[in-house]
Amino acid sequence: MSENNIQKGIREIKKIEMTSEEKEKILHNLTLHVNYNKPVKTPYFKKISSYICFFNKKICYSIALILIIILGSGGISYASETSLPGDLFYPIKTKVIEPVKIAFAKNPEKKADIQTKLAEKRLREAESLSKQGRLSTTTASELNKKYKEHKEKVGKIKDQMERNADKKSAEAIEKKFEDRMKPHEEMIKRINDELNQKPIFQNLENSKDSQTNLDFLDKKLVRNR
Amino acid sequence: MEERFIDLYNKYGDAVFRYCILRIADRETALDITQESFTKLWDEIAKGKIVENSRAFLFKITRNLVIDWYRKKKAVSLEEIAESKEEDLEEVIPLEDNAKYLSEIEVEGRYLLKKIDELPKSYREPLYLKYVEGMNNEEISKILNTKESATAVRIHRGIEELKKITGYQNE
Repeated sequence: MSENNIQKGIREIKKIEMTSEEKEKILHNLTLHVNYNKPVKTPYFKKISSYICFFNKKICYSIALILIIILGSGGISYASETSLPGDLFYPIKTKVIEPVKIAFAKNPEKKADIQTKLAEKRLREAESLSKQGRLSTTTASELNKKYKEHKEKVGKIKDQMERNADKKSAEAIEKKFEDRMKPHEEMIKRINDELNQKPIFQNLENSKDSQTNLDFLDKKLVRNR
Repeated sequence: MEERFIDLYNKYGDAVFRYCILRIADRETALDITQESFTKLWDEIAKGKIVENSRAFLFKITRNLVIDWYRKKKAVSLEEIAESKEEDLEEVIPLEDNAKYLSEIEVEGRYLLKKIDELPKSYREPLYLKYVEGMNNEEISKILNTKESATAVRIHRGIEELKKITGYQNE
């Protein structure tokens, strides 16, 4: 054997290639993937700018500056994650960080998973506020409304999967949702009882909220067909 | 950025596919892993990761995907596989066996792969990446998670060993 034999061997190995059809097919799929998954700054910018657009121009710059500082700071970002309704950073959590998380979910299962976690988070927030004696009927109603929104979105994804004949995934999503909400049943029952007996801010909100009864316990996903 | 990514595919697509099919034998799976490697590369770039050496990073992704595939396939005998990923792949590359099904490779190519297979496992991949894919020691070290000095030693000893068992007189 000589060097020529080695070179010949290497040349033969290098002949292993994709066919032009195979190459084209992958190129086509990659092009689609690239177009659907643009670099990270785009979705962030879209999400943030869409929220900024709600405000007038005068405060636009200051909000943008605050968001830049907040998003650029891991500590404050963490603080917003653990914040509760009424806290300074709570809107950052629900209006910026959470929508971005949803926007980043790659597929419907991930989206359902995030929505399920967010629904549970609303329950935890109600529980935390209740423990601290800070849960008003107004706040409870708001949390209840958000919980329902998350639940409805999970329901829509589940329905879509059923329509796509993916019954297994649909059932898994439903079960996960119910399993995650189940541990909170007792606490929410107690909160419901407390709110109905002693509605907070009764004078201000009595006509609307004094009979607030959180249907957090309604774990069954909404049908959207 | 998109154009540069497509250029990378045009440049390294075949090399990635070759790396996969020589270790997997199944053409469809090799194509799937090739596509997934580039998809993952793009995802990292899109997340803002600064990739210093695209080829090394790409092959590192590919190598991990091949290992994952092999682990899934051989789930039953997982206990027999060493914990280290590096060990795993060196353990599982039946290059020459897989090459039997590839009509592109003739006698010399098959013989070379057969002899690479006979080398101590830590020499096989560095030699393949060096001589078949033309990579430098730095790239190989990044892919295999080894120090450059260790890579250089493996390649040097590997080629000496290869000469002995093949009768090749020169690199």
